[in-house]
Amino acid sequence: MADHQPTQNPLDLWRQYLTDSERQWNAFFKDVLGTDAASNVMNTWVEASLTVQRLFADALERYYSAFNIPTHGDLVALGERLKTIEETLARLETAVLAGEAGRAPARPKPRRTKQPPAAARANGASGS
Amino acid sequence: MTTQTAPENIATVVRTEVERTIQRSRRGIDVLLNRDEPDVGMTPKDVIYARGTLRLYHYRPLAEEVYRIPVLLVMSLIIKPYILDLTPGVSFVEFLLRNGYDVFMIDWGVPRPEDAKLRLEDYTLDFIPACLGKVREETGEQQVSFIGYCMGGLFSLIYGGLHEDAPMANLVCIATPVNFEGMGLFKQWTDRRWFDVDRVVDTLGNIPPELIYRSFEMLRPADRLVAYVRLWDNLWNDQYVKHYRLFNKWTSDQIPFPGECFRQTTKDLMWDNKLMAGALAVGGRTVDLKRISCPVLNAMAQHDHIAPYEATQPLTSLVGSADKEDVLLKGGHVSLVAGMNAVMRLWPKVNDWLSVRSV
Repeated sequence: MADHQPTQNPLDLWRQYLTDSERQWNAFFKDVLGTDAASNVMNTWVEASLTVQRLFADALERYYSAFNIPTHGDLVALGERLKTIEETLARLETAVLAGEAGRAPARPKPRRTKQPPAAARANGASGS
Repeated sequence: MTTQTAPENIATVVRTEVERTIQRSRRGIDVLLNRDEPDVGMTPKDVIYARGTLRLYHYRPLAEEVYRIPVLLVMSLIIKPYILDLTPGVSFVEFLLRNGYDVFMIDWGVPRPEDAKLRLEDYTLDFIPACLGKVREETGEQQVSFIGYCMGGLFSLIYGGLHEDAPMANLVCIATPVNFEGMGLFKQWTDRRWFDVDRVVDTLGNIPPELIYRSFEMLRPADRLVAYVRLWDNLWNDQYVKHYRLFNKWTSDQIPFPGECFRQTTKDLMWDNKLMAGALAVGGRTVDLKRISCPVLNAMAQHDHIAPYEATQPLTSLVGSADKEDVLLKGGHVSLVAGMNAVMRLWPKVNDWLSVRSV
């Protein structure tokens, strides 16, 4: 028979209360945030902040152009050009490393002959 | 067995709590100041392919003899891959290496503004085949086992469903959603009645990590506060604090979602559930999951609030494989793959299942 005794540590009761509360609050928020009204409100807020962000970005872009400062779009275009340069460098690096590897003694490769343990073989046979 | 009387027991509790309070104050300062931040992703590896932000890693084998078929880990787009290589002893990658697998990983990297154009076509028709080619070249093996976590599983499925002759020896999908009707609050929040995905992507480009982080947090709003209380309660416990800091570092280390891919997944998957209906088209080709005929393991978590059971469960019914298995394990979306729960449950299961299919 299991020797199960009720806990005498009041902190364990508090820990259990914490776990239960967490579950209940999450269930409550799930119900509230899952309603059409809450989803609509959240998305309205996202829309509003996007509108502000776009207006702000447009105004900044005009300002940057007027003062001959690169805009976000210019930096993205520059990033794209850098990316193609990086890719070319990566290809060159791979080619150089491959050349070096050909000269240096290669790291020994493991044998690809490992067999599964018998227990796994027995379990695996019953899979699907 | 001896039992303590009530006064002795109370004295023990008080003594323990006083000792723990002293230890809490000391370690609390370390946590608050973020002193001795834990190192992650330490398993030795080589980058064997790089393209833009993408990196293909080859982990250095830890055994002299490995299984014939190499393993390719396909990560999710929106998380840092070190969740599978947290720290020695709590690393899925290290576990696979110690058990004799030759392990590769696709790390998509952190998308830059110019990556906002990337679509499912880029990932499944270009990047994955390119990485696969490198793995085959490096190992000399034609077949490769895929292990995909969350969205990585989805990418692996789409890749398999697009290629009749995909060199996929085995496919392990972990917490991989396929039925987007079952995506719970995410489905509700991105409903087309109020969510204007075009406006969001056209304005933001890539979806910022803060937005992704907050939406994950809002799935279970009480978790963060309770996590702090539990941390205070366990500050005396080195192991608990170490794991808390590792997971906290990872959860707050979110990355942006490439904009066009977000638009595509929202419209085709969240709104129209096209993968389930067999109507998803990528690069003008239909994704037919019946094309996947290799052995498939679908690992799901009982308490997954990000990819719930309803979203992950139909996976095996969609593929054409004869050898397929569903496994529902205790835990949540993250504890399924990392932490002590994963060490005890998922990792041994994957090893048992994969080892006999890797020779």
